[in-house]
Amino acid sequence: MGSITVTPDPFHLVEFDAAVLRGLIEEVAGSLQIPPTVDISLIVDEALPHPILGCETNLVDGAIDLWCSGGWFESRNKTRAFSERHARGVLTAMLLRARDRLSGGFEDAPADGELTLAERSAWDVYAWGRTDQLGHRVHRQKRLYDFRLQHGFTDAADAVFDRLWTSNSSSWGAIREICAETGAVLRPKAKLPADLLRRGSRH
Amino acid sequence: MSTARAPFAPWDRREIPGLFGVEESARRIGNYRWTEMRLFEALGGWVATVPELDVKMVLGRHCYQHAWHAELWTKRLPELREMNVERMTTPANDEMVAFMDAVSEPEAAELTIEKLVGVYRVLIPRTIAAYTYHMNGTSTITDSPTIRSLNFALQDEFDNWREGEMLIQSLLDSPEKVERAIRRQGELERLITAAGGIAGPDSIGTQPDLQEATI
Amino acid sequence: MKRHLNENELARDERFRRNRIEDQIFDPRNVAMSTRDLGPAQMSVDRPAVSERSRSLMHGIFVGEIQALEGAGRTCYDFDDADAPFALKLDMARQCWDESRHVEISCKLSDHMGTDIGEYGESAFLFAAACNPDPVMRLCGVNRALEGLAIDVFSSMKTFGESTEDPILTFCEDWMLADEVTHVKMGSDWLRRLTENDLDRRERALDFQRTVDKVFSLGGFRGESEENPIQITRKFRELAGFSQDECDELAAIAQQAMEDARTMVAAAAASQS
Repeated sequence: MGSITVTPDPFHLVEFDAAVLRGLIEEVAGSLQIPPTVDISLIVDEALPHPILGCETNLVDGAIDLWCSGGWFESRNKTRAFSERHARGVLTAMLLRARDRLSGGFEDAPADGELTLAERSAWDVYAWGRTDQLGHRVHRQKRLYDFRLQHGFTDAADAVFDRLWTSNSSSWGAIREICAETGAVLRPKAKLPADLLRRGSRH
Repeated sequence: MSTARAPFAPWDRREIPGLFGVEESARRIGNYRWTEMRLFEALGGWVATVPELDVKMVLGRHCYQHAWHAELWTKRLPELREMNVERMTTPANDEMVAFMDAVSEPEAAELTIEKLVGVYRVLIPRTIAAYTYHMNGTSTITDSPTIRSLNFALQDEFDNWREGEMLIQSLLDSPEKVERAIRRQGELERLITAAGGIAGPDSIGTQPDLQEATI
Repeated sequence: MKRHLNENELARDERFRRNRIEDQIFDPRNVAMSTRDLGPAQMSVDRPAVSERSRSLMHGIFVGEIQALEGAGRTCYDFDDADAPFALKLDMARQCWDESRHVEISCKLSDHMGTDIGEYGESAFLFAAACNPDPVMRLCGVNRALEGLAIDVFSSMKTFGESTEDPILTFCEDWMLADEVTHVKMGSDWLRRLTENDLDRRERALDFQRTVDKVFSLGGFRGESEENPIQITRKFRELAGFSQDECDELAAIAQQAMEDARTMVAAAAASQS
């Protein structure tokens, strides 16, 4: 059996329970049929509240390496409290992207910190769309706005979004084609590193 | 040389005199102004006390419309030889004061039905009635500036009446709430009936005495 | 109905949640956050968490508009004709309608951005500025300080909309900005008229405005440097009756608010270590 680790354990700044998170990861990974032999580690940056949201999914030496800001798991009704609904939703999306990287057509994709904002945004729509199909109540309009910010407020971008949202099969190559289709590849390069939030949490 | 024409076109049926002289028209307009002012102030005050977001926004919009009606009457009164607008801005009678106090009394967040029923099922229908009577009865020639303002105000009043009534209907989702609305309307109808309407007992005219003997 | 409500009496439906000031002040994440690089303060498309942060700001604008609507409405009701002349109440009633439209626009914008009503907490400090029992103070607090902040916020949001080529956001912010300039001008005009013969009262009112402006600068939220997410918009403030000196003074107040906040964070960090 692979291991599941959650850092920090215990949490100091927020009312999260590492054991609860480990249980959730195990359950979600099982339901997504991620091979049980794969190690999974999750680092939560508990200093970053909602709405400073960021998350990354990478593979490191065959193990799944997850990082996210604590705000993703935070209750919208009570500061610093845990929301299982939000945690379950975002962990599903993150682990779907992990499965993509393991054997789902994204084996060649660069690490999250090296993706352009447009590539990441398109991949996220693919992940959130599948999360929605699995029965989580994902806010479609929220995801559409996020996508439009990176791909444009155009009919062409919206049509691509619809395709991604309902798709069950995509690939890294398809994501790159989508960025060409919406014109996102022509946009100026981001001035900031995509993994700025995570870099901050390392210091 | 152009052909001489009658001063009034054949279809122009405007007439003099009308039911109201200058002073009576000014008196009524002073009552209207007093009522519109109390109404817009109450609507503005209620905005913070209603939790329903759609009601909150409608009250904010209607607040201005009634303030604007008061402004129309502010401008009309000096044209009716009443230079002291505030002096003429009076309630029709003490009963009208009691009625408006009762209309604006509800404050608690759970009393939206009572607030809306008072305005949209009692006060605004009475306002429409008084404005309509004034418009129909006053001279269409000598008092046409008042008629023009009445038309502007009535347009808003009808729109507000419909919008307010629809809000009430959307809130009445149980027999208990229907009872509350009926009770509230009954209480306020009794008070406005005692006042005779927003311009007093002659707000919409009086029925002629049909029993009068003829020789 | 009584006169003068306080901010704890504002009526809301069950979706809304009031931020507790003690939760914010004593949040143990504050110190850690203050040392982090969260990207540029101003909104840009490559700012980390840009969409969620813009949704959060938009929700703040939305509840601010509700409170501005409520504040203008209360000014119509709270004062008798001797304290607040009819012409002033008429302006406030007009503002009520404008704010009501702003709430409507904010709801539509929230839909556009994917925000649910009540998704973020509500702070009532904006309405607190509308609770002053003196109508002149209230005008300074609401029309010159609060609505002045709205000018800065809408202008910054409009710039963000233009930079992302978001036609809906740009359109809406531009319209709301036009209204806010009118409201600030209204406040400037009434301040002059009501205190024409009482310069002490005018000075007290301007003092109150400075206090509110400092609070509304939110420890660096607003200012004129790149570190401030919301930029002071001199062009529109001058249209609204602010003098150059008043804009300079506001910039200094905002700068002071940011420095005060830094001092407080440093003190908190020192006490934690």
